[in-house]
Amino acid sequence: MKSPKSPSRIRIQPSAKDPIASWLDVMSSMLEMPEAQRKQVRDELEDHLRSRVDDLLISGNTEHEAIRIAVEELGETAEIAKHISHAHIRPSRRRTIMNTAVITAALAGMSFGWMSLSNTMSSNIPADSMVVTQPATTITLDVTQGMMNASDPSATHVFEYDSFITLHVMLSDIAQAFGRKLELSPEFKQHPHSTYLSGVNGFIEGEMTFQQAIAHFQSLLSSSLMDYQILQSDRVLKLVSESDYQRSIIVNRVYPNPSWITQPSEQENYAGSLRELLGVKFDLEFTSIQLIGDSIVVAATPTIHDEFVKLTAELDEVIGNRDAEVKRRNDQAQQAMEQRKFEFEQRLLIEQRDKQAQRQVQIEEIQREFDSIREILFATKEQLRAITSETYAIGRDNNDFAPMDPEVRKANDQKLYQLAVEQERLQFTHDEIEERYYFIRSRLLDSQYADLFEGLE
Amino acid sequence: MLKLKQDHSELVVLSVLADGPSYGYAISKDIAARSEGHFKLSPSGMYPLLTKLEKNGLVTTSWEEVKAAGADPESSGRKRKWYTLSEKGHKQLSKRIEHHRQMQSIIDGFVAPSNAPTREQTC
Repeated sequence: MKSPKSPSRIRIQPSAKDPIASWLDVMSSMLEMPEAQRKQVRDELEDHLRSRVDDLLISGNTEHEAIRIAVEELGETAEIAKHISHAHIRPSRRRTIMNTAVITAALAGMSFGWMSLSNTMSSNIPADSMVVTQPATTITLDVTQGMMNASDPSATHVFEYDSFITLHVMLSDIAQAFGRKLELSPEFKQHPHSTYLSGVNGFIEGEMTFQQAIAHFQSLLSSSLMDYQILQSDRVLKLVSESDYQRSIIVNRVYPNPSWITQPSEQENYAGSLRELLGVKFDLEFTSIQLIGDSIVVAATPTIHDEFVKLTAELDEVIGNRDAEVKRRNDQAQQAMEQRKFEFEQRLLIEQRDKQAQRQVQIEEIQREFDSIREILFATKEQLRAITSETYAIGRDNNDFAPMDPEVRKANDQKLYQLAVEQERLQFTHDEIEERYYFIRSRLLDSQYADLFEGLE
Repeated sequence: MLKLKQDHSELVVLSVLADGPSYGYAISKDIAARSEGHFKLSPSGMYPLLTKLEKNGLVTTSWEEVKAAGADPESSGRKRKWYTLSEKGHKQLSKRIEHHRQMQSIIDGFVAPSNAPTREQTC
Protein backbone atom coordinates (compact mmCIF):
# COMPACT_ATOMS: atom_id res chain seq x y z
CA MET A 1 0.00 0.00 0.00
CA LYS A 2 1.39 3.36 -0.86
CA SER A 3 1.86 5.69 2.06
CA PRO A 4 0.06 9.00 1.90
CA LYS A 5 3.41 10.71 2.00
CA SER A 6 6.57 9.38 0.45
CA PRO A 7 9.24 8.73 2.97
CA SER A 8 11.84 11.41 3.03
CA ARG A 9 15.30 10.53 1.88
CA ILE A 10 17.51 9.81 4.86
CA ARG A 11 21.21 10.07 4.56
CA ILE A 12 23.97 9.29 6.97
CA GLN A 13 24.87 12.37 8.91
CA PRO A 14 28.58 12.88 9.48
CA SER A 15 29.42 12.13 13.05
CA ALA A 16 32.27 10.92 15.15
CA LYS A 17 30.61 7.51 15.14
CA ASP A 18 31.43 4.88 12.55
CA PRO A 19 29.41 5.96 9.46
CA ILE A 20 28.25 2.39 8.81
CA ALA A 21 26.99 2.11 12.36
CA SER A 22 25.22 5.46 11.99
CA TRP A 23 23.51 4.35 8.80
CA LEU A 24 22.51 1.05 10.41
CA ASP A 25 21.05 2.99 13.38
CA VAL A 26 18.89 5.06 11.05
CA MET A 27 17.83 2.09 8.96
CA SER A 28 16.99 -0.16 11.89
CA SER A 29 14.93 2.62 13.48
CA MET A 30 12.71 2.41 10.41
CA LEU A 31 12.14 -1.32 10.61
CA GLU A 32 8.65 -2.31 11.66
CA MET A 33 9.29 -5.52 13.54
CA PRO A 34 10.07 -6.82 17.00
CA GLU A 35 13.39 -5.79 18.52
CA ALA A 36 14.95 -9.25 18.21
CA GLN A 37 14.28 -9.41 14.48
CA ARG A 38 15.42 -5.84 14.05
CA LYS A 39 18.76 -6.74 15.62
CA GLN A 40 19.17 -9.68 13.25
CA VAL A 41 18.40 -7.58 10.20
CA ARG A 42 20.86 -4.97 11.38
CA ASP A 43 23.57 -7.62 11.88
CA GLU A 44 22.95 -9.09 8.45
CA LEU A 45 23.11 -5.74 6.68
CA GLU A 46 26.19 -4.76 8.66
CA ASP A 47 27.90 -7.89 7.43
CA HIS A 48 26.82 -7.03 3.89
CA LEU A 49 28.10 -3.45 4.13
CA ARG A 50 31.42 -4.30 5.76
CA SER A 51 32.05 -7.18 3.35
CA ARG A 52 31.39 -4.81 0.47
CA VAL A 53 33.62 -2.14 1.98
CA ASP A 54 36.41 -4.70 2.38
CA ASP A 55 36.13 -5.61 -1.32
CA LEU A 56 36.12 -1.95 -2.34
CA LEU A 57 39.17 -1.25 -0.21
CA ILE A 58 40.97 -4.14 -1.89
CA SER A 59 39.96 -2.61 -5.24
CA GLY A 60 41.88 0.51 -4.28
CA ASN A 61 39.17 2.82 -2.99
CA THR A 62 39.71 4.97 0.05
CA GLU A 63 37.75 4.05 3.15
CA HIS A 64 35.54 7.08 2.75
CA GLU A 65 34.79 6.23 -0.87
CA ALA A 66 34.28 2.56 -0.08
CA ILE A 67 31.69 3.32 2.62
CA ARG A 68 29.93 5.83 0.41
CA ILE A 69 29.72 3.37 -2.51
CA ALA A 70 28.60 0.48 -0.31
CA VAL A 71 25.81 2.50 1.31
CA GLU A 72 24.68 3.95 -1.99
CA GLU A 73 24.44 0.48 -3.51
CA LEU A 74 21.99 -0.49 -0.80
CA GLY A 75 19.61 2.12 -2.16
CA GLU A 76 17.23 4.40 -0.33
CA THR A 77 17.38 3.74 3.38
CA ALA A 78 13.63 4.03 3.84
CA GLU A 79 13.02 1.84 0.81
CA ILE A 80 15.14 -1.06 1.99
CA ALA A 81 13.70 -0.76 5.50
CA LYS A 82 10.19 -0.90 4.07
CA HIS A 83 10.86 -3.96 1.91
CA ILE A 84 12.54 -5.86 4.70
CA SER A 85 9.75 -4.90 7.12
CA HIS A 86 7.14 -6.18 4.71
CA ALA A 87 8.98 -9.44 4.28
CA HIS A 88 8.97 -9.99 8.02
CA ILE A 89 5.45 -8.81 8.72
CA ARG A 90 3.88 -10.50 5.74
CA PRO A 91 3.55 -14.10 6.92
CA SER A 92 1.34 -13.40 9.91
CA ARG A 93 -0.64 -10.70 8.15
CA ARG A 94 -0.83 -12.82 5.06
CA ARG A 95 -2.35 -15.63 7.03
CA THR A 96 -5.02 -13.23 8.18
CA ILE A 97 -5.69 -12.22 4.62
CA MET A 98 -5.59 -15.83 3.55
CA ASN A 99 -8.11 -16.76 6.19
CA THR A 100 -10.32 -13.98 4.94
CA ALA A 101 -9.90 -15.24 1.40
CA VAL A 102 -10.82 -18.77 2.45
CA ILE A 103 -13.84 -17.52 4.34
CA THR A 104 -14.83 -15.36 1.40
CA ALA A 105 -14.50 -18.30 -0.96
CA ALA A 106 -16.53 -20.47 1.37
CA LEU A 107 -19.17 -17.80 1.74
CA ALA A 108 -19.23 -17.38 -1.99
CA GLY A 109 -19.77 -21.11 -2.31
CA MET A 110 -22.62 -21.06 0.16
CA SER A 111 -24.23 -17.74 -0.43
CA PHE A 112 -23.84 -17.36 -4.12
CA GLY A 113 -23.41 -20.93 -5.22
CA TRP A 114 -20.27 -19.86 -7.01
CA MET A 115 -17.80 -22.63 -7.70
CA SER A 116 -18.26 -24.72 -4.62
CA LEU A 117 -15.36 -26.90 -3.52
CA SER A 118 -17.04 -30.02 -4.88
CA ASN A 119 -17.64 -28.37 -8.24
CA THR A 120 -14.07 -27.27 -8.47
CA MET A 121 -12.74 -30.64 -7.50
CA SER A 122 -14.94 -32.35 -10.02
CA SER A 123 -13.53 -30.17 -12.76
CA ASN A 124 -10.23 -30.82 -14.40
CA ILE A 125 -8.51 -28.08 -12.51
CA PRO A 126 -5.49 -29.23 -10.56
CA ALA A 127 -6.05 -28.94 -6.85
CA ASP A 128 -2.86 -27.02 -6.32
CA SER A 129 -4.19 -24.15 -8.39
CA MET A 130 -6.86 -23.44 -5.82
CA VAL A 131 -6.40 -20.51 -3.61
CA VAL A 132 -7.43 -22.39 -0.49
CA THR A 133 -4.65 -24.92 -0.85
CA GLN A 134 -1.88 -22.87 -2.33
CA PRO A 135 -0.52 -20.33 0.11
CA ALA A 136 2.55 -19.81 -2.01
CA THR A 137 0.44 -18.35 -4.79
CA THR A 138 -1.34 -15.88 -2.59
CA ILE A 139 -1.25 -12.23 -3.37
CA THR A 140 0.73 -10.25 -0.89
CA LEU A 141 -1.46 -7.60 0.61
CA ASP A 142 0.15 -4.78 2.43
CA VAL A 143 -2.40 -4.29 5.15
CA THR A 144 -0.22 -2.21 7.38
CA GLN A 145 -1.83 0.94 6.04
CA GLY A 146 -5.34 -0.31 6.71
CA MET A 147 -8.08 -1.04 4.21
CA MET A 148 -8.14 1.04 1.07
CA ASN A 149 -10.75 3.72 0.75
CA ALA A 150 -12.89 2.40 -2.08
CA SER A 151 -14.06 5.84 -3.13
CA ASP A 152 -10.57 7.20 -3.76
CA PRO A 153 -9.76 6.52 -7.44
CA SER A 154 -6.13 7.63 -7.03
CA ALA A 155 -5.44 5.10 -4.26
CA THR A 156 -2.93 2.49 -5.30
CA HIS A 157 -1.94 -0.95 -4.20
CA VAL A 158 1.32 -2.77 -4.74
CA PHE A 159 0.68 -6.24 -6.07
CA GLU A 160 3.48 -8.69 -5.43
CA TYR A 161 3.31 -12.31 -6.40
CA ASP A 162 5.64 -15.16 -5.85
CA SER A 163 4.30 -16.87 -8.94
CA PHE A 164 1.23 -17.08 -11.13
CA ILE A 165 -2.14 -17.19 -9.39
CA THR A 166 -5.59 -18.10 -10.58
CA LEU A 167 -7.73 -15.38 -12.09
CA HIS A 168 -10.28 -15.92 -9.36
CA VAL A 169 -7.72 -15.25 -6.66
CA MET A 170 -6.54 -12.24 -8.57
CA LEU A 171 -10.03 -10.75 -8.84
CA SER A 172 -10.82 -11.54 -5.20
CA ASP A 173 -7.62 -9.90 -4.05
CA ILE A 174 -8.14 -6.86 -6.26
CA ALA A 175 -11.58 -6.47 -4.71
CA GLN A 176 -10.24 -6.95 -1.21
CA ALA A 177 -7.23 -4.70 -1.73
CA PHE A 178 -9.53 -1.87 -2.72
CA GLY A 179 -12.14 -2.42 -0.02
CA ARG A 180 -14.74 -4.20 -2.12
CA LYS A 181 -16.45 -7.56 -2.08
CA LEU A 182 -16.50 -9.95 -5.03
CA GLU A 183 -19.89 -11.14 -6.20
CA LEU A 184 -20.81 -13.32 -9.15
CA SER A 185 -24.13 -13.12 -10.89
CA PRO A 186 -26.43 -16.16 -10.94
CA GLU A 187 -26.04 -16.25 -14.73
CA PHE A 188 -22.32 -16.52 -14.41
CA LYS A 189 -22.61 -19.42 -12.00
CA GLN A 190 -24.60 -21.33 -14.62
CA HIS A 191 -22.09 -20.57 -17.34
CA PRO A 192 -20.32 -23.70 -18.61
CA HIS A 193 -17.04 -21.83 -18.35
CA SER A 194 -17.65 -20.57 -14.84
CA THR A 195 -14.73 -22.64 -13.58
CA TYR A 196 -12.48 -20.84 -16.00
CA LEU A 197 -11.46 -18.30 -13.42
CA SER A 198 -10.09 -20.98 -11.11
CA GLY A 199 -8.49 -22.99 -13.86
CA VAL A 200 -6.39 -20.33 -15.50
CA ASN A 201 -3.44 -18.60 -13.96
CA GLY A 202 -2.32 -15.06 -14.47
CA PHE A 203 0.24 -12.66 -13.17
CA ILE A 204 -0.13 -9.19 -11.75
CA GLU A 205 2.70 -7.11 -10.44
CA GLY A 206 3.44 -3.58 -9.44
CA GLU A 207 1.67 -0.57 -8.07
CA MET A 208 -1.77 0.00 -9.59
CA THR A 209 -4.91 1.98 -9.05
CA PHE A 210 -8.18 0.12 -8.83
CA GLN A 211 -9.06 0.85 -12.45
CA GLN A 212 -5.62 -0.20 -13.66
CA ALA A 213 -5.89 -3.47 -11.75
CA ILE A 214 -9.36 -4.16 -13.20
CA ALA A 215 -8.13 -3.33 -16.70
CA HIS A 216 -5.23 -5.71 -16.22
CA PHE A 217 -7.57 -8.44 -15.05
CA GLN A 218 -9.90 -7.96 -17.99
CA SER A 219 -6.99 -8.20 -20.38
CA LEU A 220 -6.36 -11.68 -19.03
CA LEU A 221 -9.88 -12.98 -19.60
CA SER A 222 -10.08 -15.38 -22.49
CA SER A 223 -12.51 -15.03 -25.32
CA SER A 224 -14.75 -17.62 -23.68
CA LEU A 225 -15.55 -15.13 -20.95
CA MET A 226 -15.44 -12.01 -23.04
CA ASP A 227 -19.23 -11.80 -22.88
CA TYR A 228 -18.91 -11.18 -19.15
CA GLN A 229 -18.20 -7.83 -17.65
CA ILE A 230 -17.11 -6.48 -14.31
CA LEU A 231 -19.57 -4.16 -12.60
CA GLN A 232 -17.92 -1.84 -10.15
CA SER A 233 -19.25 0.07 -7.21
CA ASP A 234 -17.71 1.48 -4.08
CA ARG A 235 -18.64 -1.69 -2.24
CA VAL A 236 -18.84 -4.53 -4.70
CA LEU A 237 -17.13 -6.00 -7.73
CA LYS A 238 -19.61 -8.10 -9.63
CA LEU A 239 -18.93 -10.39 -12.58
CA VAL A 240 -22.10 -10.33 -14.67
CA SER A 241 -23.25 -11.33 -18.12
CA GLU A 242 -22.98 -8.84 -20.92
CA SER A 243 -26.77 -8.38 -21.00
CA ASP A 244 -26.96 -7.69 -17.26
CA TYR A 245 -24.02 -5.39 -17.58
CA GLN A 246 -25.58 -3.46 -20.44
CA ARG A 247 -28.86 -3.09 -18.53
CA SER A 248 -27.07 -1.90 -15.44
CA ILE A 249 -25.24 0.89 -17.20
CA ILE A 250 -28.21 2.20 -19.21
CA VAL A 251 -28.73 5.91 -18.75
CA ASN A 252 -31.79 7.96 -19.75
CA ARG A 253 -31.12 11.29 -21.36
CA VAL A 254 -33.40 13.86 -22.97
CA TYR A 255 -32.16 15.58 -26.10
CA PRO A 256 -33.88 18.62 -27.64
CA ASN A 257 -34.92 18.45 -31.26
CA PRO A 258 -32.60 20.29 -33.61
CA SER A 259 -33.78 23.76 -34.49
CA TRP A 260 -33.99 22.83 -38.17
CA ILE A 261 -36.77 20.33 -37.50
CA THR A 262 -40.17 22.00 -37.74
CA GLN A 263 -42.58 19.25 -38.73
CA PRO A 264 -43.57 16.18 -36.67
CA SER A 265 -42.92 13.98 -39.69
CA GLU A 266 -39.37 15.35 -39.88
CA GLN A 267 -38.90 14.54 -36.22
CA GLU A 268 -40.01 10.96 -36.76
CA ASN A 269 -37.73 10.59 -39.75
CA TYR A 270 -34.88 12.09 -37.77
CA ALA A 271 -35.31 9.69 -34.83
CA GLY A 272 -35.75 6.74 -37.19
CA SER A 273 -32.61 7.61 -39.11
CA LEU A 274 -30.61 7.96 -35.91
CA ARG A 275 -31.79 4.57 -34.71
CA GLU A 276 -30.86 3.02 -38.04
CA LEU A 277 -27.43 4.62 -38.07
CA LEU A 278 -26.68 3.62 -34.48
CA GLY A 279 -27.87 0.11 -35.25
CA VAL A 280 -25.15 -0.27 -37.84
CA LYS A 281 -22.52 0.10 -35.16
CA PHE A 282 -24.20 -1.11 -31.96
CA ASP A 283 -26.54 -3.80 -30.82
CA LEU A 284 -29.57 -1.76 -29.83
CA GLU A 285 -31.30 -4.55 -27.95
CA PHE A 286 -31.18 -2.50 -24.77
CA THR A 287 -31.59 0.89 -26.39
CA SER A 288 -34.78 2.90 -26.67
CA ILE A 289 -35.23 6.08 -28.71
CA GLN A 290 -38.61 7.76 -28.12
CA LEU A 291 -40.14 11.01 -29.32
CA ILE A 292 -41.81 12.90 -26.51
CA GLY A 293 -43.04 16.39 -27.33
CA ASP A 294 -40.23 18.37 -28.83
CA SER A 295 -37.61 16.07 -27.33
CA ILE A 296 -35.95 12.77 -28.05
CA VAL A 297 -35.58 10.54 -25.01
CA VAL A 298 -32.81 7.99 -25.31
CA ALA A 299 -32.24 5.12 -22.91
CA ALA A 300 -28.87 3.62 -23.74
CA THR A 301 -25.42 2.83 -22.49
CA PRO A 302 -22.97 5.71 -22.11
CA THR A 303 -21.09 4.49 -25.19
CA ILE A 304 -24.23 4.70 -27.32
CA HIS A 305 -25.06 8.09 -25.81
CA ASP A 306 -21.62 9.30 -26.78
CA GLU A 307 -22.13 8.08 -30.34
CA PHE A 308 -25.64 9.60 -30.39
CA VAL A 309 -24.30 12.98 -29.32
CA LYS A 310 -21.49 12.77 -31.85
CA LEU A 311 -23.86 11.78 -34.64
CA THR A 312 -26.43 14.48 -33.88
CA ALA A 313 -23.72 17.09 -33.58
CA GLU A 314 -22.36 16.12 -36.98
CA LEU A 315 -25.84 16.10 -38.47
CA ASP A 316 -26.61 19.50 -36.99
CA GLU A 317 -23.37 20.81 -38.35
CA VAL A 318 -23.94 19.42 -41.85
CA ILE A 319 -27.56 20.53 -41.97
CA GLY A 320 -26.68 23.83 -40.36
CA ASN A 321 -24.03 24.32 -43.02
CA ARG A 322 -26.54 23.40 -45.68
CA ASP A 323 -29.00 25.98 -44.34
CA ALA A 324 -26.24 28.51 -44.19
CA GLU A 325 -25.35 27.72 -47.81
CA VAL A 326 -28.97 28.13 -48.88
CA LYS A 327 -29.17 31.43 -47.04
CA ARG A 328 -25.90 32.53 -48.58
CA ARG A 329 -27.19 31.72 -52.06
CA ASN A 330 -30.50 33.48 -51.36
CA ASP A 331 -28.63 36.50 -50.11
CA GLN A 332 -26.46 36.42 -53.20
CA ALA A 333 -29.51 36.20 -55.46
CA GLN A 334 -31.18 39.04 -53.59
CA GLN A 335 -28.07 41.15 -53.88
CA ALA A 336 -27.79 40.37 -57.60
CA MET A 337 -31.43 41.28 -58.11
CA GLU A 338 -31.01 44.55 -56.25
CA GLN A 339 -27.92 45.28 -58.25
CA ARG A 340 -29.75 44.64 -61.50
CA LYS A 341 -32.59 46.86 -60.33
CA PHE A 342 -30.16 49.60 -59.41
CA GLU A 343 -28.38 49.34 -62.72
CA PHE A 344 -31.71 49.41 -64.57
CA GLU A 345 -32.78 52.48 -62.66
CA GLN A 346 -29.49 54.14 -63.35
CA ARG A 347 -29.75 53.29 -67.01
CA LEU A 348 -33.31 54.59 -67.07
CA LEU A 349 -32.20 57.75 -65.38
CA ILE A 350 -29.44 58.27 -67.89
CA GLU A 351 -31.79 57.52 -70.74
CA GLN A 352 -34.27 59.98 -69.33
CA ARG A 353 -31.56 62.55 -68.91
CA ASP A 354 -30.38 61.99 -72.48
CA LYS A 355 -33.90 62.06 -73.72
CA GLN A 356 -34.52 65.25 -71.80
CA ALA A 357 -31.39 66.79 -73.28
CA GLN A 358 -32.37 65.71 -76.78
CA ARG A 359 -35.82 67.03 -76.23
CA GLN A 360 -34.39 70.28 -75.01
CA VAL A 361 -32.29 70.52 -78.15
CA GLN A 362 -35.33 69.75 -80.26
CA ILE A 363 -37.37 72.32 -78.34
CA GLU A 364 -34.68 74.89 -78.85
CA GLU A 365 -34.56 74.08 -82.60
CA ILE A 366 -38.33 74.26 -82.87
CA GLN A 367 -38.31 77.43 -80.84
CA ARG A 368 -35.76 78.95 -83.20
CA GLU A 369 -37.79 77.83 -86.21
CA PHE A 370 -40.93 79.13 -84.58
CA ASP A 371 -39.35 82.51 -83.91
CA SER A 372 -38.14 82.60 -87.47
CA ILE A 373 -41.47 81.68 -89.02
CA ARG A 374 -43.26 84.14 -86.81
CA GLU A 375 -40.99 86.93 -88.07
CA ILE A 376 -41.64 85.86 -91.61
CA LEU A 377 -45.36 85.72 -90.93
CA PHE A 378 -45.36 89.19 -89.44
CA ALA A 379 -43.36 90.48 -92.40
CA THR A 380 -45.76 88.88 -94.87
CA LYS A 381 -48.72 90.31 -93.01
CA GLU A 382 -47.03 93.70 -93.13
CA GLN A 383 -46.53 93.38 -96.85
CA LEU A 384 -50.14 92.40 -97.30
CA ARG A 385 -51.25 95.31 -95.23
CA ALA A 386 -49.07 97.64 -97.36
CA ILE A 387 -50.53 96.28 -100.60
CA THR A 388 -54.03 96.54 -99.22
CA SER A 389 -53.39 100.11 -98.14
CA GLU A 390 -51.89 101.02 -101.48
CA THR A 391 -54.74 99.33 -103.34
CA TYR A 392 -57.20 101.20 -101.18
CA ALA A 393 -55.50 104.54 -101.90
CA ILE A 394 -55.38 104.00 -105.65
CA GLY A 395 -58.93 102.72 -105.74
CA ARG A 396 -60.11 105.81 -103.81
CA ASP A 397 -58.39 108.07 -106.30
CA ASN A 398 -60.00 106.21 -109.21
CA ASN A 399 -63.47 106.39 -107.71
CA ASP A 400 -63.14 110.10 -106.90
CA PHE A 401 -65.51 112.12 -109.01
CA ALA A 402 -62.87 114.66 -109.75
CA PRO A 403 -61.58 114.72 -113.36
CA MET A 404 -58.58 112.44 -113.85
CA ASP A 405 -56.13 112.25 -116.58
CA PRO A 406 -56.94 109.07 -118.57
CA GLU A 407 -53.29 108.23 -118.64
CA VAL A 408 -53.15 108.43 -114.92
CA ARG A 409 -56.29 106.41 -114.61
CA LYS A 410 -54.89 103.80 -116.89
CA ALA A 411 -51.66 103.73 -114.94
CA ASN A 412 -53.67 103.45 -111.73
CA ASP A 413 -55.67 100.56 -113.12
CA GLN A 414 -52.52 98.87 -114.21
CA LYS A 415 -51.05 99.45 -110.78
CA LEU A 416 -54.18 98.08 -109.17
CA TYR A 417 -53.91 94.99 -111.28
CA GLN A 418 -50.29 94.51 -110.34
CA LEU A 419 -51.17 95.06 -106.70
CA ALA A 420 -53.96 92.52 -106.92
CA VAL A 421 -51.61 89.95 -108.45
CA GLU A 422 -49.00 90.72 -105.78
CA GLN A 423 -51.58 90.52 -103.03
CA GLU A 424 -52.80 87.17 -104.28
CA ARG A 425 -49.23 85.82 -104.34
CA LEU A 426 -48.50 87.24 -100.92
CA GLN A 427 -51.74 85.94 -99.53
CA PHE A 428 -50.84 82.50 -100.77
CA THR A 429 -47.40 82.78 -99.21
CA HIS A 430 -48.93 84.15 -96.04
CA ASP A 431 -51.31 81.26 -95.78
CA GLU A 432 -48.52 78.78 -96.20
CA ILE A 433 -46.39 80.55 -93.65
CA GLU A 434 -49.28 80.80 -91.27
CA GLU A 435 -49.99 77.14 -91.63
CA ARG A 436 -46.36 76.46 -90.98
CA TYR A 437 -46.48 78.77 -88.02
CA TYR A 438 -49.37 76.94 -86.38
CA PHE A 439 -47.77 73.64 -87.09
CA ILE A 440 -44.52 74.65 -85.46
CA ARG A 441 -46.33 76.25 -82.59
CA SER A 442 -48.16 73.01 -82.08
CA ARG A 443 -44.86 71.08 -82.14
CA LEU A 444 -43.36 73.48 -79.70
CA LEU A 445 -46.24 73.04 -77.29
CA ASP A 446 -46.08 69.27 -77.72
CA SER A 447 -42.36 69.27 -76.95
CA GLN A 448 -42.59 71.60 -73.99
CA TYR A 449 -45.37 69.62 -72.38
CA ALA A 450 -44.11 66.22 -73.47
CA ASP A 451 -42.98 65.27 -69.91
CA LEU A 452 -46.39 66.19 -68.59
CA PHE A 453 -48.10 64.16 -71.30
CA GLU A 454 -45.87 61.16 -70.64
CA GLY A 455 -46.64 61.37 -66.94
CA LEU A 456 -50.37 61.45 -67.69
CA GLU A 457 -50.05 58.47 -69.96
CA MET B 1 23.09 -4.77 -16.40
CA LEU B 2 19.70 -6.47 -16.09
CA LYS B 3 17.63 -6.18 -12.97
CA LEU B 4 16.24 -9.50 -11.89
CA LYS B 5 12.48 -9.73 -11.64
CA GLN B 6 10.99 -11.24 -8.54
CA ASP B 7 9.79 -14.33 -10.34
CA HIS B 8 13.27 -15.05 -11.67
CA SER B 9 15.19 -13.96 -8.60
CA GLU B 10 13.79 -16.80 -6.50
CA LEU B 11 14.95 -19.34 -9.08
CA VAL B 12 18.37 -17.71 -9.28
CA VAL B 13 18.88 -17.52 -5.51
CA LEU B 14 17.73 -21.09 -5.00
CA SER B 15 20.12 -22.18 -7.76
CA VAL B 16 23.02 -20.37 -6.12
CA LEU B 17 22.22 -21.99 -2.79
CA ALA B 18 21.99 -25.38 -4.48
CA ASP B 19 25.78 -25.18 -4.81
CA GLY B 20 26.17 -24.87 -1.08
CA PRO B 21 25.47 -22.61 1.88
CA SER B 22 26.09 -18.93 1.37
CA TYR B 23 25.36 -15.53 2.90
CA GLY B 24 23.74 -12.36 1.55
CA TYR B 25 26.70 -10.48 0.15
CA ALA B 26 28.28 -13.67 -1.25
CA ILE B 27 25.01 -14.59 -2.94
CA SER B 28 24.80 -11.20 -4.63
CA LYS B 29 28.42 -11.50 -5.77
CA ASP B 30 27.84 -15.01 -6.99
CA ILE B 31 24.85 -13.92 -9.08
CA ALA B 32 26.85 -11.09 -10.63
CA ALA B 33 29.80 -13.39 -11.33
CA ARG B 34 27.79 -16.29 -12.76
CA SER B 35 25.80 -13.98 -15.01
CA GLU B 36 29.05 -12.27 -16.02
CA GLY B 37 27.72 -9.05 -14.63
CA HIS B 38 24.43 -9.17 -16.52
CA PHE B 39 22.24 -9.77 -13.49
CA LYS B 40 22.07 -7.73 -10.37
CA LEU B 41 19.92 -8.52 -7.37
CA SER B 42 19.69 -5.41 -5.25
CA PRO B 43 19.89 -5.74 -1.44
CA SER B 44 16.38 -4.29 -1.15
CA GLY B 45 15.17 -7.21 -3.27
CA MET B 46 17.47 -9.94 -2.06
CA TYR B 47 17.08 -9.69 1.73
CA PRO B 48 13.26 -9.67 1.68
CA LEU B 49 13.44 -12.66 -0.68
CA LEU B 50 15.81 -14.53 1.62
CA THR B 51 13.48 -13.77 4.52
CA LYS B 52 10.56 -15.12 2.57
CA LEU B 53 12.48 -18.29 1.62
CA GLU B 54 13.30 -18.76 5.26
CA LYS B 55 9.72 -18.20 6.37
CA ASN B 56 8.51 -20.68 3.77
CA GLY B 57 11.00 -23.26 4.94
CA LEU B 58 12.90 -23.37 1.66
CA VAL B 59 16.14 -22.43 3.39
CA THR B 60 17.54 -22.89 6.86
CA THR B 61 19.75 -20.28 8.50
CA SER B 62 22.60 -20.13 10.92
CA TRP B 63 24.82 -17.40 12.34
CA GLU B 64 28.58 -17.16 12.36
CA GLU B 65 30.81 -14.62 14.00
CA VAL B 66 33.27 -13.05 11.58
CA LYS B 67 36.33 -11.08 12.57
CA ALA B 68 38.23 -8.79 10.32
CA ALA B 69 41.79 -9.69 9.50
CA GLY B 70 44.12 -8.27 12.16
CA ALA B 71 41.30 -7.61 14.59
CA ASP B 72 41.73 -8.04 18.30
CA PRO B 73 41.10 -11.76 19.02
CA GLU B 74 39.38 -10.74 22.26
CA SER B 75 36.96 -8.34 20.57
CA SER B 76 33.65 -9.54 19.22
CA GLY B 77 33.32 -9.73 15.41
CA ARG B 78 30.34 -9.06 13.25
CA LYS B 79 27.63 -11.62 12.70
CA ARG B 80 27.03 -13.33 9.38
CA LYS B 81 23.84 -15.10 8.47
CA TRP B 82 24.25 -18.24 6.41
CA TYR B 83 21.57 -19.73 4.24
CA THR B 84 21.35 -23.40 3.38
CA LEU B 85 18.89 -24.93 0.94
CA SER B 86 16.43 -27.22 2.77
CA GLU B 87 14.88 -30.38 1.42
CA LYS B 88 11.75 -28.42 0.64
CA GLY B 89 13.92 -25.85 -1.06
CA HIS B 90 15.48 -28.50 -3.29
CA LYS B 91 12.02 -29.72 -4.29
CA GLN B 92 10.87 -26.19 -4.95
CA LEU B 93 13.97 -25.56 -7.05
CA SER B 94 13.34 -28.70 -9.10
CA LYS B 95 9.79 -27.58 -9.67
CA ARG B 96 10.88 -24.11 -10.64
CA ILE B 97 13.53 -25.46 -13.01
CA GLU B 98 10.98 -27.73 -14.64
CA HIS B 99 8.55 -24.87 -14.98
CA HIS B 100 11.28 -22.65 -16.37
CA ARG B 101 12.25 -25.24 -18.97
CA GLN B 102 8.66 -25.70 -20.00
CA MET B 103 8.26 -21.99 -20.42
CA GLN B 104 11.55 -21.74 -22.27
CA SER B 105 10.51 -24.55 -24.59
CA ILE B 106 7.21 -22.83 -25.28
CA ILE B 107 8.90 -19.50 -25.88
CA ASP B 108 11.49 -21.14 -28.13
CA GLY B 109 8.62 -22.35 -30.26
CA PHE B 110 7.88 -18.74 -31.05
CA VAL B 111 11.43 -17.53 -31.45
CA ALA B 112 13.47 -18.45 -34.51
CA PRO B 113 16.93 -19.92 -33.72
CA SER B 114 19.68 -17.35 -34.05
CA ASN B 115 21.38 -19.27 -36.90
CA ALA B 116 18.14 -19.73 -38.82
CA PRO B 117 17.98 -17.85 -42.09
CA THR B 118 16.11 -14.61 -41.90
CA ARG B 119 13.18 -13.85 -44.16
CA GLU B 120 15.36 -11.56 -46.24
CA GLN B 121 17.92 -14.29 -46.75
CA THR B 122 15.34 -16.82 -47.91
CA CYS B 123 13.77 -14.47 -50.34
